[in-house]
Amino acid sequence: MLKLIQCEMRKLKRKHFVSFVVFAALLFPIPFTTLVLAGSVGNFTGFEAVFGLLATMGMPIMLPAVLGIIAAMLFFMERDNDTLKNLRTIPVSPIKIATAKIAVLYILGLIFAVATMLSSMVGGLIAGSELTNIGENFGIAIITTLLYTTSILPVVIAIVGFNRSYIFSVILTFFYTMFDFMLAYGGMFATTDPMMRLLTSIMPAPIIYRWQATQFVDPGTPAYSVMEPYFLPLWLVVLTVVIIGGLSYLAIVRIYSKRES
Amino acid sequence: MSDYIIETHDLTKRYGNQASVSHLNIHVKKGRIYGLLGRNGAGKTTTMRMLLGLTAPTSGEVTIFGKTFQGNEKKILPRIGCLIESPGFYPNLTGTENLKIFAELRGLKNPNYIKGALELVNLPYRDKKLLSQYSLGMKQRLAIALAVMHDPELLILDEPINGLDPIGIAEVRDFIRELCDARGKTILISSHILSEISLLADDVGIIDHGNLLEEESLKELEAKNAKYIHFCVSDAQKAAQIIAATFRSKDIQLADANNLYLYDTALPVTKINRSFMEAGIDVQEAHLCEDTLEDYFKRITGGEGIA
Repeated sequence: MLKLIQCEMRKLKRKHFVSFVVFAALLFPIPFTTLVLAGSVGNFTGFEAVFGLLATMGMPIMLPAVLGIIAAMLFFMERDNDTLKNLRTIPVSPIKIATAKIAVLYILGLIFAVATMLSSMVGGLIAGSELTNIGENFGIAIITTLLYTTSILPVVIAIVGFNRSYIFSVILTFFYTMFDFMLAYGGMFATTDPMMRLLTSIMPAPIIYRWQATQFVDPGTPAYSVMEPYFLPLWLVVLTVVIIGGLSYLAIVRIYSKRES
Repeated sequence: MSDYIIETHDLTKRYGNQASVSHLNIHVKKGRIYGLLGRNGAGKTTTMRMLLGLTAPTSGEVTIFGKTFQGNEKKILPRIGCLIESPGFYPNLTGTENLKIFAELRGLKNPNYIKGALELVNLPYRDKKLLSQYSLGMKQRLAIALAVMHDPELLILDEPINGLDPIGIAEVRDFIRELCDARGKTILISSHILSEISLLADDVGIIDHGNLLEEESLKELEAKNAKYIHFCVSDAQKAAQIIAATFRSKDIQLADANNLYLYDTALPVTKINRSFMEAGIDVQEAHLCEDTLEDYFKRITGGEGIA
């Protein structure tokens, strides 16, 4: 499997969009650093503020969007280049091929997490603060990345299942990402509608945000009293996202295996 | 154990109500080149895809190396090299990089496998040219390199000369022949180009509308080709009557008012000529002819010729 993952990585050589993963991680720190320089964000200043904004607002938008497009590239690669037959006659099972492609998404997600961490540190230094809690924040960045990468798998089902164009996949990815993001920041507090309540309890972005809030909102602050009823423990978020991811993985490998090369 | 490297038993593939391949029974012998000949859409590629497990048969069975294919794919496929339809490679990688990916997945660690395969097809090793800049002929060569890279016992090549120039075609033909003769490989090759099959194959299977019409060695097929004497005369009708009356042969076909074919080639042509002249029939031409493989193909498929 490791060999297959290495080969999947190698297939991305000279694909310029992959470099965009790092570039995308460097985009949000610019406006966020500017925002922090203009004044503090909640109780946070400097590095903590830049990182907090990146983890709760930058990553939820940029990471699923970028990974959705890369997933389309990865899964359309064999179809577009007619290479699946070469792999199947080695033989490599379609299940392993699909699994390796998903593993590549996680690797690129982790690269994004490291780039986010480094860019927030640079942003923090520009904002004039000391770099504190680096280990803890790096842990939050990694967990956030793993959760959001898993959260993109339902989109991959649609990408693989519909097997349409890149434009279709991009539209689908952006719709899913924005809908999920809006639920996290709008739907959760704005309504008591039962359907909305259900969605904000099972969709990835709202529940990840409800865990992140436990990390970034200090007790005793006004924000804490507003957010506190919505807090979720990490284990529950992980369990929910893993269930979504696991079911999505099964659907992806099933669809991919049934496809004739 | 059977002498055949590949054997199919009533292999059938249906798409809806249409049978792409119907009850196909082919037999590929060890160390020989088997040419699967048929028009475009005759079912050649579908057959090859089923042999490689790329398309599931609707019914029937495939036996390769004496083992049923289904359930033994992991044992059988590593012993096969194949080229199916168009060459499939990653356009953002070089030829060597492409082969390296498949070599690694095959567990071939020594770079000499890649180097040797590229040398065989006259492509440079570690060239900087990306596959997107390759011509169709170069891609085809690379696909052949991929098929032979792991030194397989059996090669399944679907239209391997597609896109090659005449010199390339001759090179690939010699190379395939050499793989069979010098290295003892068994090769199943498909083509819609009859001349290629007749130049290369030891055994021929003729497929049409998914049915295997004929399966014989090329020598047997050539022996089956009809021989006849073609007469071009001033009155073919009268000439036919003379042959029937004087030489007691009814194996005659009148093509038109001036041409007739005599299939009894044992009859003395000079005596027939003299009889014609004595009867006042002018003879413009008289020569011994033999049907080509194309004529045979036309006859058994009941249709038009093939390239």
